[in-house]
Amino acid sequence: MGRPTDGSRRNSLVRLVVLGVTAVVILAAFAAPVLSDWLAPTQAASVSSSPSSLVQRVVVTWNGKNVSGADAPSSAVPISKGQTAIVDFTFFVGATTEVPNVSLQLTYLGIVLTTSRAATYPLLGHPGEAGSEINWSFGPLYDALEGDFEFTASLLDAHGSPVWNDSFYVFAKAPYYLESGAVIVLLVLTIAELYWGIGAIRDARKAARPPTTGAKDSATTTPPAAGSPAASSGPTAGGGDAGPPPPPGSGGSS
Amino acid sequence: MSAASSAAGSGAVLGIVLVFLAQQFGLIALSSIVTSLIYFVVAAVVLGLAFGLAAKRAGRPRPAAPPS
Repeated sequence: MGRPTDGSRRNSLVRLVVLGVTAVVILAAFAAPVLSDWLAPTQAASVSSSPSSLVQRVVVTWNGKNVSGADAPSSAVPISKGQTAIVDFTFFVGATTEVPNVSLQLTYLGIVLTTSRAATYPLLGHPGEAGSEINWSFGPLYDALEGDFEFTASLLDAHGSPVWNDSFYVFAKAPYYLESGAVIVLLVLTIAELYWGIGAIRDARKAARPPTTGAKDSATTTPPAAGSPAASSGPTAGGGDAGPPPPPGSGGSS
Repeated sequence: MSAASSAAGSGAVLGIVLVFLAQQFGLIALSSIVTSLIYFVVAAVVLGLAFGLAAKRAGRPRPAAPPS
């Protein structure tokens, strides 16, 4: 009786461990963005990104928030569902430098999507100061995607080469972290793969289980009591092939 | 297909799916293709090995239970 109990206990332990790890991973995935939002210090609104020697005092804001602090996925600037982000570029160029365009690049799995706009000179009547604005949204992709995305804001020269650039992260947030097509598909896939993986492990365990010892058990049951009919009915006792015993005196020689 | 290889396959797919989920929940950013491939390969190999070894270990024949 000991082995099956141990086996089922180990089965449920493995199942508990797998379920626990999965729950921790999913909880961590849910909690991390919330915690990082909660723990992250509020970013200073007027900190400019590090400019090159050609352009100075470059400030890029995403919906009014300076992107220089969003240099890690945990400190990404947020964008909500259906929202259009206003990306504002402000910079100061010298007399010999020309920055006709600004661009915003989204990089995902090595694929780059670029949006460019012309820069405006001079900005607000300040000589040498220029700026531009890009209205950016995920468009119809927003229903399918959420998560951290890397953006690169660039100032381009007349040949299209970047004079200055800075990378930052944007967290596209679906309501409740769940109302996104990709998240739902991935969660269903996770559950299915866990089901199949654990099922394969359970099948292997079942196949390795030794055959049941029912026949041996019945053979080794308690012996019948002496004097009972079963005790005298052995395989040879009173068998039909043995025949009746010979009468006395009938088998002698003359 | 043995139970061990089937479990390893499930673990590998689960690893790739979990990397995508981590990106969707904002834990990592899959921007560079090299970094993304490293995430995918490491997760697939680690979880594939874990599930495959678990199934292999579970499938090891055990000695028959002694009669009680």
